[in-house]
Amino acid sequence: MGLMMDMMARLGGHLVETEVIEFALDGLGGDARDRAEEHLRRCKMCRRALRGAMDLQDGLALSVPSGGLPEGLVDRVVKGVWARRAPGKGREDL
Amino acid sequence: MALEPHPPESEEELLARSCRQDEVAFEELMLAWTGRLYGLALRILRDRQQAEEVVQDAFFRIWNKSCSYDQEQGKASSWMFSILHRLAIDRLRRNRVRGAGLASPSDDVARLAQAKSSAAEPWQKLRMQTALDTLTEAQRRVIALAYYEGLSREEMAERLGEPVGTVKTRLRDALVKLRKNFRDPSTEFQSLERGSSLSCGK
Repeated sequence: MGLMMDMMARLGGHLVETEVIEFALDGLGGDARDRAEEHLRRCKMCRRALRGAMDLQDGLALSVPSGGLPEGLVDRVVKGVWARRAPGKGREDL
Repeated sequence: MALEPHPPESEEELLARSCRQDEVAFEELMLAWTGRLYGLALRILRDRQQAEEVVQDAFFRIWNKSCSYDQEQGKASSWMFSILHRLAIDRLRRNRVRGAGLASPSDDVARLAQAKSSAAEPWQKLRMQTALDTLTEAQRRVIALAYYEGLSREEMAERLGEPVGTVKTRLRDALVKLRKNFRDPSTEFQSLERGSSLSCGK
């Protein structure tokens, strides 16, 4: 069933389901990622599919065993982020 | 008359305010999200100092890119995790090239399967746990190698001592099964399964 869906997606020029999922999980590299990004820019249907698959990112990210945070971590992160801004500038292009 | 307390703002709202250079909103976001991003960074890098640096890098990028967040491509939480994940995996790969911080053979299966507690999103965590439980151990292993270690299929094949084709098929099956069993009813997968049009409308 899945392979049939993939074949239909390919015929329609769409990303196949695994490409969408892997894109959501940052699993596509290099050219494959570029192609997927390009396609997603112009394909509403695949963007909707991506939105659904992005939940997996949250699920896997939150599945890590959690421990206590190092003392003062939040303060250091906040200070560090603000300290990295160029003086007089709110934002930098990355 | 007592004032009604304001409900906490969503990440999407805080990002929108951050885009308008609202530093208070961004600090609120950092306060709420440092722990979650740190947890993932630590899991990937297994080094507290590097995890902290990557979290800082991620927030710096989130601040700079807050205007480019597009709700159509997913929740703000997913977008932020994605930024952190990419930075952490890049760092892990650089560590590997330098021969430092090499990940040990994956004990992720057990960790992934036994992940018990997170302060937030218990429902989402439970759904993921249930979805992971439907996978075979071998399938969980390839998911862990792909997501937490950023290995390519070829690298996974080498690590597992199996043909690349076998690993590819296993990863594909695992991803589809995980996606299917983790499906959030509020963000149904709008795919060809529903007979959607094949046209790519903008």
